[in-house]
Amino acid sequence: MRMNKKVLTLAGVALTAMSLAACGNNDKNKASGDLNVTLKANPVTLDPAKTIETPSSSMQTQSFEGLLKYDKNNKVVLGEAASQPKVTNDGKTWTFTLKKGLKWSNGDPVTAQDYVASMRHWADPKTKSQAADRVADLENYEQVSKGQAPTSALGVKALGKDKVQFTFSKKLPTVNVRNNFASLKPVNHRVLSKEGSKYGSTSDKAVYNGPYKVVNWTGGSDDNWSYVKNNQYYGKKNVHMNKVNVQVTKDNNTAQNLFKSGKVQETSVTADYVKGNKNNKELHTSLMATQYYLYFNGKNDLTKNENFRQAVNYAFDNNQLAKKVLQDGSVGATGWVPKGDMKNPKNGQDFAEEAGHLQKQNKKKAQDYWKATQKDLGKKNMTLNLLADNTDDQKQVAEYLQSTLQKQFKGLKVEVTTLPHAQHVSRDFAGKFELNLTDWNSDVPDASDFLSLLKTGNKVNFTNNTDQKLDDLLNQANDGTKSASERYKLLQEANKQVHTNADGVPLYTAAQAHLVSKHVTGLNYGPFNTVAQYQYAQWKK
Amino acid sequence: MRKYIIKRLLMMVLTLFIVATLTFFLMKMIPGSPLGNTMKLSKAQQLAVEKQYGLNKPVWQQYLSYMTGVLHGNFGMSYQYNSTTVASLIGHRVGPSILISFQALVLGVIVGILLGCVGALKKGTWADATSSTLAVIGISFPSFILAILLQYYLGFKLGWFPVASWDGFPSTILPTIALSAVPMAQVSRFVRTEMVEVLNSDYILLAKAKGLSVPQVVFHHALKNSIIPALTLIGPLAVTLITGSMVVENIFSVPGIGELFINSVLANDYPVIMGLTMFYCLLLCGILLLTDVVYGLVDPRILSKEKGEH
Repeated sequence: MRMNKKVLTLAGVALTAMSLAACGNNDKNKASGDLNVTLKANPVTLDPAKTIETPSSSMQTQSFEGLLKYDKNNKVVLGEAASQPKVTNDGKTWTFTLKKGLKWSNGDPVTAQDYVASMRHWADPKTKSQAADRVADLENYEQVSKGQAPTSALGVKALGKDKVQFTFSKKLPTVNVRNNFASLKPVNHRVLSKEGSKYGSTSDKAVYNGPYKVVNWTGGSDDNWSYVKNNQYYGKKNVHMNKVNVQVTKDNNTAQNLFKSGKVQETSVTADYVKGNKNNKELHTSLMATQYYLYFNGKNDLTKNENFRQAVNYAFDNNQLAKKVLQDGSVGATGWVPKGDMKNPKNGQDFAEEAGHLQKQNKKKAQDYWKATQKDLGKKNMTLNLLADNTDDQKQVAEYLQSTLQKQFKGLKVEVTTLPHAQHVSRDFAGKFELNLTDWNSDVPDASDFLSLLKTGNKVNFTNNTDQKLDDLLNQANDGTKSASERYKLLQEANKQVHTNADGVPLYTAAQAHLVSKHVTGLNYGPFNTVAQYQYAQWKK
Repeated sequence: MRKYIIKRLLMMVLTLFIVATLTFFLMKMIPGSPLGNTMKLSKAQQLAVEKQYGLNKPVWQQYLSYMTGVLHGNFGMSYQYNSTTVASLIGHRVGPSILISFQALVLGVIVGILLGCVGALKKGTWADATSSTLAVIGISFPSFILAILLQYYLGFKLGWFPVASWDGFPSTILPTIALSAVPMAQVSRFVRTEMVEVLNSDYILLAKAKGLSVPQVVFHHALKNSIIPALTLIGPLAVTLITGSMVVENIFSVPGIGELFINSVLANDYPVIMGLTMFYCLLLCGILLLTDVVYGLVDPRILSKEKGEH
């Protein structure tokens, strides 16, 4: 009978545990207290110089602030800078003055030296920064990053305690520099030199100058931590949520269940959810500065054929692709540059809208070009391979492209190869593809960033095609001598040239989707600042 | 026995060495760079970072320097989490994985034994059919489906358990139940088959003839011999649970080790791939050795056979 007693005891323990666990609250109507949110993946670091992925970027957005910052509506405004920077006539030197009385969370004053230390740390080859593109335009960056010059040679210096001067190697478009300054964060130079390579590897190995302090983050393998209001932050009066708790939730269904049960008030969701919940008022979709393209390999007989490239350019209905296939808030591309990217400096109009509908389906023209292709190559039947990422949405897009091409072009067979992203990228660089479904994500509101994808010598011009006219237009636009409106005109011309040449097909501008509780207000997501800023969140009254 | 264990330990070292070497060279054959931002880095920037990591050296040199590090207990730094050592990454994540796997194993084995006993004692009745059906469902029903159902009904709809979190015992209950289905099913099938055989043996007949009650016959005499074969299952089951719990971990937001492995392979994070492969290998060898030793202790016939051999 002893065994029976044990079994009964075990059953009793299990039942007690179940009833204890059942004591959870239902927080569906939570409208006060801590804000609870999820992140899709683990952040890697609190060191801005080492950050290349969204989760770390999200964590730093809450806890650090640069000279400029994004406001509630994602406009670039003054951050720690007391006033707008003084820019020299040649546009190369930018001088900022810091606000008075700025402090780090440990009570240290924020000084110009902290900005200098951050830039030097970024460019130092020992940092192994993969985000070096952010500081690569500073004077002497190249020599410093190769270890051929000391970090002190970098184009940044402190002019006293509250003035910091940046010198760039060439004149850059003002809007690009301002956007970059909203992303460049300082480091407390004392803490950096104390922690060395361990700086930012846990929340204890960094101090914060932003709206929140990161608390209880024990490093890249931690799934739970909090942001606690930073009482040293100059704008603390406008920070409404005292504490934000973060839980890494990798599974989409779990994130939705946590949101629906009221356990979290903000979470990101995927296309599957968006498709079935379009009328949900708590669902927010926003466009990102990410455009998807279909590239042609310029070294393949079929894909280098201009008639074929034109045929494919007229084959797709991008609107249908976005609205019927993706259904996640993405919009069909009307041209090479996505909507919401660059603005006309004269009238504030959107670059893509002013360019007009350059990318349109025309089945008749597509057919004519296809017939001309068959004639050019002297073949009726051809097979092509389409390379894509192996994520669900990319597989769906690839299948749509495959079926459209096969339906419209009799004799063409399209095979799809999907690979994990890292392997896909290695095939891009090796030129091992025929058709390539790929994307570009920009950090600056500048059409040049997208148009340069097809420039000769750009290492991400995977088409391998060269177009002298396009190169000339882009070189002129970026030579540092043009006024903003002259430059804008040149970029519009370059855009037309890209469409004439048809080296790739712009397909759609990607969107992201979030669920935000109806009790929370103030969370907005922008194309360049895609993460939530909890300093602006507050409970609805 | 001691000689046997020492021999097995030496074999473990050799196995580890072979696994590490094979993994290192296979891993280097995976296309793609371990750097996550190659699209945005200029060629010079990329070369500079690769040089810092020693990735510009020939593969055999990289192998030698890695193995030298391992011999000194240094498994390197993760490329993805580039301020974190591999040992600390694994160290932080292995605890939750082992905890839910251990709980699932204990729950699965206990319930499995009970179901197996019921099946054997009530052979041919509805109770036997139910126990068999449960076992078939346990084996054929993927644990992640069970996890989703448990989360939806017990977590979300009824609110009895946390939907997903890692915050004390209650948050381990649903992942434990989801993972326990397979061990429960396998153990119950083994125990039932063995128990049916044992119940027909002479010594059970003798026990019954002596007038012992059914529970005494079952728990004191029949069960002990019936669970020995199930012991052989426990080792491999434990390893399968620890290494195979990734999807369940993801569903319940358990900060475990499974996803780290998949991500490290997808991101070509060489030091983490190596560290985890060697960890899994060590775990498998260790558990198999332990199972063999325990098996020998429970069934002395095996021990004497080993003694005879060695």
